[in-house]
Amino acid sequence: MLLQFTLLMLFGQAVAKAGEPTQEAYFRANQLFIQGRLEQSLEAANQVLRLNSNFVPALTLRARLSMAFNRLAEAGRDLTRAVELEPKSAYNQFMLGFYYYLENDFKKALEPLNRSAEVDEANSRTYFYLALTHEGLANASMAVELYEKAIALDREKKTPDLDTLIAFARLLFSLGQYEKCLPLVEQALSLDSKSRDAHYERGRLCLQAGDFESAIQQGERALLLQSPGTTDRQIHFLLVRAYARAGNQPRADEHLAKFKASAPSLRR
Amino acid sequence: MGKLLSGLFLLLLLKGGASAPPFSFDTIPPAKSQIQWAHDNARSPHKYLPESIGPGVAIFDYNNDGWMDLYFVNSGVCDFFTPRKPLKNALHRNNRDGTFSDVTEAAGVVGGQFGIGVSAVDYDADGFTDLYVTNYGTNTLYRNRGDGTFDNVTKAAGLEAPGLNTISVWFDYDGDGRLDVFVGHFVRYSKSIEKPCLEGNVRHYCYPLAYDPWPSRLFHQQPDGAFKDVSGSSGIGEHPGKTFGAVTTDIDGDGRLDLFVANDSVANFLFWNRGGGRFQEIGMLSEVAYNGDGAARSGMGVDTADYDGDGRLDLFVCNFNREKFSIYRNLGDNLFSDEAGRTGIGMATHMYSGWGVKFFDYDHDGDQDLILTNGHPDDLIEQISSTLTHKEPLLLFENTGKGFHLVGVKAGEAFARSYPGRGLAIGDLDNDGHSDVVVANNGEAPLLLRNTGGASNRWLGLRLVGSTANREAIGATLSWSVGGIKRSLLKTSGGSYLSSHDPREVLGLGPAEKADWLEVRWPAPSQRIDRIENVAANRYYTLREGKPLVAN
Repeated sequence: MLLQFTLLMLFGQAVAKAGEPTQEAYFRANQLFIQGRLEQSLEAANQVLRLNSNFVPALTLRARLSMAFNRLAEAGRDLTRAVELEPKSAYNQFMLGFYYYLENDFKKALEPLNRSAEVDEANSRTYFYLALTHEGLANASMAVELYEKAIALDREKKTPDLDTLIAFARLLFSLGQYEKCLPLVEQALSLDSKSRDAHYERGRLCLQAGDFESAIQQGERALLLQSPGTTDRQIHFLLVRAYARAGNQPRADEHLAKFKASAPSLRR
Repeated sequence: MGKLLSGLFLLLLLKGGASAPPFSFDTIPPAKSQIQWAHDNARSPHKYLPESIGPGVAIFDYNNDGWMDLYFVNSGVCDFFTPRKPLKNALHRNNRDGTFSDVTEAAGVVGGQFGIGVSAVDYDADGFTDLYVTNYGTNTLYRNRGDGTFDNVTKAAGLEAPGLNTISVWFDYDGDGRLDVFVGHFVRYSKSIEKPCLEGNVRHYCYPLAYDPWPSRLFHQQPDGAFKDVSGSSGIGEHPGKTFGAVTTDIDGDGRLDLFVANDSVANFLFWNRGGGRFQEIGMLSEVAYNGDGAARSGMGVDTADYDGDGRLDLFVCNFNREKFSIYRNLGDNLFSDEAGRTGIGMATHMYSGWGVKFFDYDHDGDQDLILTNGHPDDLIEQISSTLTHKEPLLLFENTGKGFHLVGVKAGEAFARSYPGRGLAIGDLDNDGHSDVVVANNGEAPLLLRNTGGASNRWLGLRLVGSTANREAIGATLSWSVGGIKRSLLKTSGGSYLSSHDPREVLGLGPAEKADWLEVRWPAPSQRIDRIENVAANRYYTLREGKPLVAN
């Protein structure tokens, strides 16, 4: 979800600076990308790079496409080259850092993300990924600071971001700072009352607080919503516990059966 | 009010003692210990799964001289490995002067199979501690003859248990006074079903997800000393898992020992002892099976203790990097809550893959501190990650009463280095009352750490010997009071990873010169309570069931 969101967010930031045929070819590749015709867009991007192998917007476009096709190594090569060609571009640095983040290579992600933040201090997205990266490196206090910065920037621009709020809430939950999670989740729900992620997190907080009926309500609501983030399995797990602790064992058993029937999502 | 203040003052004194220098864990190099043995992990380009699993270590007294000896487990012949020169397990006798002598051959405990773990226990209650070695292959039960030698009695005992065995946990689950044994089994495995797990063209060790789970076994000791497989009738065998760690506990304080089992990549098990020889698996109900999102983690080492002093036994599980380790606080009513976030354990362990673990009171301040060995199982991890390393640091945590604080390098230079850590055993190698540490490294020499102790806090060491109850007193509850503060612990079995600790319990008394009282509730069938008043500090005692306390 974050990958798709980021790709869409960043679309259009690239600026073409090349000869006319190259620019035209790039424009075509970019249009195809916008239309979601990814195979054709990749073909067109390859064509641009055959005309000019150092054309940075095409390198970053092809990297985004490679990410979409889960060919991360190819994306990494193009982004490394893009940064070599234009090291002062906040966008290029961000994309390289983002690539390392996707590769779980958090130590390598830090440098380009920091450079991106130095060049463009107002991009909350960069701070968001810096927060995620520090979280991945177990630097919790730094992650908290960066989430707060990203949220403050979004607030200034009056563009609060659901992903940032949820991710920050999840970190605080994992740190056992439940009371600090609640306002973030409430804000997420006020931004999007149909956010499955937000209802799920609200449900987890209710369960933690011993409010089993509210946890059930939030979980059942989350199940009806769509999201590529929170899985049905996670919600069934919440509901098994909430129903069991509310004394409704038959309903707990129903969700237990669904939980067991759903594919585990072990991340290794 | 005065009483409250004096209690608080005593608490402060006790906690004050915790931070009082000097203390450290000093590394005992091979040149000093004279232990030249090193583990051979049989590492190959094929990356056969068992290569990355072992080894374990046992701290025990094989010759009853009152000094703790060491037994190390090694790899050996199996279907994927034939060593160029014979490998052996190693028994090292404590020479009482800081050195050890290799007596393996003379004792007849060489091993020879692909060894994984070990437990040391007097299973036949003859007064001499025996060894049970778990292997990839069939296990080996070495019966201690009492003359410095051991007999291999595996077949007669019925404890071969073929497979990819990991931990063995001895306990009297049915209260008949005889020790039974749980034998943890990892995945269904043989060379013929080894999976190629590639990164590019390079083979790496597979994640256990690639293999099918397999049930562990429970053996019941018969009156004639042979063992009967009761995996089916007990309920243990109904649950295929991928078991690395297991520890006895008593989650509901009913005196019947339960069993907590950590599985890698599938749900953990909590076998609740219902009596009548039956266990009910309640991991999911108790909320110790999965993480908070319902995902199975990579459970490896485990332990149990009442870390928060509320009278209930809590649980600890080492997991894989990015999963955070689990510290499950017992809420009562067979329900647990993972407090890894609030205690600081979660973030402190986020980058590591943990194996050996032990709650112990390293500084004698009275609470349960924590030590962990870590190491990424993939020796090639640094080729594919700049964030992770194959060798990882040993972690020592001080229990602050609110959580766990990482002591770090202040505990000694050994904590600034990294190791391919696996097994971990705690024991007092020099009988000074300060618990030392032995780490069994994968493919390397073991690490011995001597706890130099601090001058400020006092202790009390206790060896329990059952008569009606099982001789090892596994399942006994020790309670003691210092300055009006009551503490207790369960004499457990298993825990850590593939390893076996010094059977003596060392109780921290803080600055007090004595324990006000000490009480032992012996396990079934005895259930006797022995209570001793005014027990002087800084010495070891032996308490035989129903007899007076004897200073050693």
